[in-house]
Amino acid sequence: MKIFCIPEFKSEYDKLVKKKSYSSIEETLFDFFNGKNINDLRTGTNLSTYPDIPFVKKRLQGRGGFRIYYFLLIKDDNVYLSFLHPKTGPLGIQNLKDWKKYLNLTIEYIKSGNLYQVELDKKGPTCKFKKLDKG
Amino acid sequence: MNCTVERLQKTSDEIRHISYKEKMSLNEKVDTLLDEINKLKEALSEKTQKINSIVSKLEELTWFSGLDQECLEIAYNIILFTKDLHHTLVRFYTHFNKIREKGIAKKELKAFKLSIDDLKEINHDVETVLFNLPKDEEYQKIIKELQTL
Repeated sequence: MKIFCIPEFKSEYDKLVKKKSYSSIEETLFDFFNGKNINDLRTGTNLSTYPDIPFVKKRLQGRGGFRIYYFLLIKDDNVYLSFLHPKTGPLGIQNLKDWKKYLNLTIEYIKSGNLYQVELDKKGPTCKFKKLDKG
Repeated sequence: MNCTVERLQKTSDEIRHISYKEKMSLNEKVDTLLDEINKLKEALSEKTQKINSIVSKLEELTWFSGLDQECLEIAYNIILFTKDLHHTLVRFYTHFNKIREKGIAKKELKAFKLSIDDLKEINHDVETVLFNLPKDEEYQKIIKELQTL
């Protein structure tokens, strides 16, 4: 399974990592994906209304932690991370209202190839982001 | 003289006895209070677990597809029951405002509140996924795009 993310996801992740109260996101994100295959990610709330092309909203780090939104392109074994936000604190969002915007952006970025590949670095443990050459 | 000693001794015994009983009574009251706090913590944790289990079950509803009219009616009732449950739980939580201000069962009350918030969030999401998005033409266009990837 390959993990990609859109630029908006990376910029939100970078913003959170810099804040001390949210710095646990590094390890949380690593733990969430480490050792999992694409079928293990078919949990949480499926916002796409279709089980075969899921756009998932998932709770990370238990209650009051983070929410992550991702699209599973099952036939290619790819995960596309669209957005991430904390539930509480200064950057907290109770319930993201414009999540459709991020799904739309994800489609556009998949088509244009304007994506980052996300690699799990066990030494961290953390996630590393590598900009893809636009295809 | 003997009479004086006896009276003094009697007074001394009485005070010692009352002092002992008061100490025991205070300890008992503190123990009872601590027992009640522990019972409250356990009850809150149990309620939180039950709510979290409902949240997981509601999440599963968003993975069903092709629900017929009968299934949608049941799903609609689930949403209504969950709204009612949420209101009841919020009222229950507000009863503990004073206790929370004093820092009693703080961790358990926080976990309980977060689980109530999750319940509201997932119920809103289920309603959106099962009843609003299928009628949303703009969203259906996005889904068609997804299917072409």
